[in-house]
Amino acid sequence: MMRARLASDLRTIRTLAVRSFAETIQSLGIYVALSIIVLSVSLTLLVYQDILATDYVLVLSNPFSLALVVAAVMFSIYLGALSCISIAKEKETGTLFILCAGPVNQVNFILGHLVAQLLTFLFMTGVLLVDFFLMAQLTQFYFSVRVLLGLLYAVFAVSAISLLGAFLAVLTGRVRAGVLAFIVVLLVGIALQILDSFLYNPDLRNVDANLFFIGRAVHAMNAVLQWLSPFAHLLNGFQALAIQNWSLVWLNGLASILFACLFLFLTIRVMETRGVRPE
Amino acid sequence: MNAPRRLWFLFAFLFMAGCVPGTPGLPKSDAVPEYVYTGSIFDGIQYGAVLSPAEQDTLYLLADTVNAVVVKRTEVYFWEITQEYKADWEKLNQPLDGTLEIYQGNHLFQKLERQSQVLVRQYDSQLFKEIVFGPDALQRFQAYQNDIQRYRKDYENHVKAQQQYSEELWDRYQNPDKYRNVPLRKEPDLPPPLHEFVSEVALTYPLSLPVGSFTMRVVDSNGRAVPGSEKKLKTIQPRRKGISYVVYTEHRWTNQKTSREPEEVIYVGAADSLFLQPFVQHEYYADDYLNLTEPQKKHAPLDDWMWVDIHPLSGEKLQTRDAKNHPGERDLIPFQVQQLPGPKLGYLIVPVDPNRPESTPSFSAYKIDLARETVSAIGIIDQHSLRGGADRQIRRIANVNPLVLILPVGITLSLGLIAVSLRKVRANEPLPERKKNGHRCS
Amino acid sequence: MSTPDLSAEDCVIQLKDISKSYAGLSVLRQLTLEVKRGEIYGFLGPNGSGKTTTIMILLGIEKPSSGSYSILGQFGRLSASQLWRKVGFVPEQQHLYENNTAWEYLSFFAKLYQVSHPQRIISQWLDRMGLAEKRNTELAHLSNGQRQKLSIARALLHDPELLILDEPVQGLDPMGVRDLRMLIKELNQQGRTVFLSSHVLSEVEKTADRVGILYQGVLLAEDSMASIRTRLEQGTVYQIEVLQLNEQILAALENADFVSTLHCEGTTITLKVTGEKDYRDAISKCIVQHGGSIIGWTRKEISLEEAFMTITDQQVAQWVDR
Repeated sequence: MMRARLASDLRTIRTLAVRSFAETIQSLGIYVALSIIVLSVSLTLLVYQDILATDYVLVLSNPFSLALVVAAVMFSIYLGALSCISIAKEKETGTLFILCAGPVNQVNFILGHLVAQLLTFLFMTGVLLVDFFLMAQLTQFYFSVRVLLGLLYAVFAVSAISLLGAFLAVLTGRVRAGVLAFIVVLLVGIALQILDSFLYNPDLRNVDANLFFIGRAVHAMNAVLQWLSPFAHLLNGFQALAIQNWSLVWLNGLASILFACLFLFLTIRVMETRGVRPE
Repeated sequence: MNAPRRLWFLFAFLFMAGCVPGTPGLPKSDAVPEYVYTGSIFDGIQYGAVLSPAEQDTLYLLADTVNAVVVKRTEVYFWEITQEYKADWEKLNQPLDGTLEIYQGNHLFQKLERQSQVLVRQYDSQLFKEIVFGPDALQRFQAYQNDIQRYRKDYENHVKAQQQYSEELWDRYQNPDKYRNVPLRKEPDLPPPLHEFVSEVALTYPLSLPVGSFTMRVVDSNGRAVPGSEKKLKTIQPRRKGISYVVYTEHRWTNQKTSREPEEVIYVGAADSLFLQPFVQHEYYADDYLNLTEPQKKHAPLDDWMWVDIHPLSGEKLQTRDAKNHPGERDLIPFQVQQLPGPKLGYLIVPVDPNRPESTPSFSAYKIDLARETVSAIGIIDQHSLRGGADRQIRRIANVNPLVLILPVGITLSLGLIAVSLRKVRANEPLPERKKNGHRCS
Repeated sequence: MSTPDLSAEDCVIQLKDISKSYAGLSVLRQLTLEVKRGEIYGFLGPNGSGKTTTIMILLGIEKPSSGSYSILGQFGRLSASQLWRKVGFVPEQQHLYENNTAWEYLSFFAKLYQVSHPQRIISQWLDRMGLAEKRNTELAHLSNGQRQKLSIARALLHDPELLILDEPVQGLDPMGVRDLRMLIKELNQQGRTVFLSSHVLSEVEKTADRVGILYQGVLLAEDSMASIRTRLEQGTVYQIEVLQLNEQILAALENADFVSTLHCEGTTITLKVTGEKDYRDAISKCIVQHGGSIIGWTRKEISLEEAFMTITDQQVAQWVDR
């Protein structure tokens, strides 16, 4: 009985995921996002070419490493926002309610969307790798297998951020409010990091004691954020990949998984509390 | 007032209370007598002087290296111009006699007594790389003193011999007939230089600890800790060790690039030759290393790692591989950089001619002649095996039309348009049953 | 679909003392009802009476504040108990994936409900609903009625035993309403149980076997239409069209003992007579004696709307007194 139910649940998740994935890759937005990343890489390579023409020598660990970071962060943000929008839209339009009046429960629904985001991520990664490979062939700039590893590693952060988007979607229940909340969360994180790098400076103590203490407070908040933020774990993981410190790689990946599980739990709890009917 | 509002007020109050200025530790401008840690510490490259006043709560050292520290009582003042604490040794310079105790947590890790200590450097180098303790230190210093005496005598003899030679030359000039069949003798050679330079003997504690955090203090002969002598100690070690290459091209001599990471690729444009100067490098946590080398310089806390060039390689061979993986070797050669004469701009890098002692080398490097050979990978051979962290790829890059690089963008967008179009086409496809039978299903 | 056992004691839906409150506001109060297998149950009530809440509880989407319920012998969320295979639900508002075509929409649900031979089934239902020509039309471009029909098709893809319809005629034109009525009867004849919730009393009257009347969260009455009529119909109502209608005729009828109420509109008299005796002869004699000529005569049965209004007025008063 349990096995039959599990098989049924897996089928449900698969059906939801395939539908959501198909809808995503059949819309232009994902290709526009990919094109922006590819364009930024092209421009970067052109800049490198110019430097070579001027300086004759250029030392780079990986010309696509910056692109890797940009791609991983953009994928995460894009898929997080997409998750937020798609789930909030289902709640807002009432299609979630129709699903839950049938074979779908909250867990299947969220997992279905998560699997869809991961499939989308793999698809985007595949397209991007083909583009990177093509650019490497055209320019002779070195394309390292580590780029692939790095992109695949980003799946941990993508999961966590997609589920953060899902959580904000069910919390707000509306597309606009959900997206706004997602953007605010991102901006707060970015603002904290910028403020921290600006204000956390011992020299400030001599300039203005108030600013110094504010800087310490901001630094403490940013330190907490570094523990909580999947982006921080993603970037730390990239650094660990670069120096081939595999235990650090897995540690950061595990941290992202833990946050993904936390957001999943919170999302389901909120759905159970607030219900699935459109507000 | 309801609960959420109360919480907000409490939070706002705490935040503002935190903003009230406390008593920031303003640096003192008057000299104050206190115990300081001083001595010579190794930064991976050389031994350098250190002054750690009481205001600096932690002393940073390299792990598993011998350092010399001593505790002295002196007058410390803050020098506004360089924003650092300085010691007025002339006014007060009292070494603290006692035993240095090193604790790790509450556990006594080490006990040290002061010993004679000297620093040694090779005569042709400016860097103190050797430290000697105990009777050996005294012996080395004595040997150095003897060497100085010897050199003084030799130099005096040389001066006399040079004078005689000059007089002979003058005589030859004045009386050429006298020396018609007498060959001119060789000018007297300078006496051999000193072998090494040894610093004055000091009494210091030889501090060599594994990586970790410690506290130290001096206890007097009665076993009592001397107040004011406590200090924290942190020993650091490199995260990685490797080889860095400083890359030069002839035409862009002043624009040097450094390759540090093993996965880095050296891209070459229009240059004909490449010069690679190798260094042994260590990677340290930037914040710790800067606290070690510039303990009194304030810097924003860095959450990053930095490579430090320790010393240049000498004698090791460079292994090269071409596109077909055929190996080759070359030696480290001294080169001299010459500026091109006349109105031409640029430099010429030429090997140092051993037969011309006046030509001093600018650097020693491996040369790769890109006009004649295709090298795609390099490594350092160290005792018949490749040295870790020294591998690099070399790639020659030709300029690509910028429009070509926009091609992948176009491909990606086209993929999107195809996907969207396919969806619309699929939506308008007739049902398979309709195609087959041409009528509705019952 | 196999014909289920239609034994009288076989309950498909059972609610016992179900109460539900939202933020202190009572929506359902000790609701108890049963729906037998194979019947069409009309669940009536004005807007805001708690019908949709009852359905949400049945589907497991909402939890009752107290009481117990079962649907096909089980309770809880449909997905947990696998009951979704046997239950089809059409909500009041059609929540559709606007970017999908009708075919894509039904294909998705066919996969979700694990329908075998999905293409054949979908074609059948599209044809049955008159939406075959719209199969490739995006749902955003369908009319309200077409969307409603599509929802019904979706609910029937997996051949459910029990069909729950919440305000199904909303948005349908008279043809559509008639088609739906015929469909419901057809489905019922195939052995399906239909739980039909509506505030359109005339439609329920024509379709339902039994009716439950919900008002302000309280089930005021639950019985067959005929029984409800019999309960309320204390007397008979006649509509008589009279030529040369005059005051004397009206006065004479008003004064008659057997006439309880009289209403005149133009040349038509509507009067209600008490008791079970047949007073038609007395009424005709009275009209003729006073100079009138009868040109039309109809016996009017109490409508569901009238029954509903009567019951709610009566029962609410009783409830308030309780």
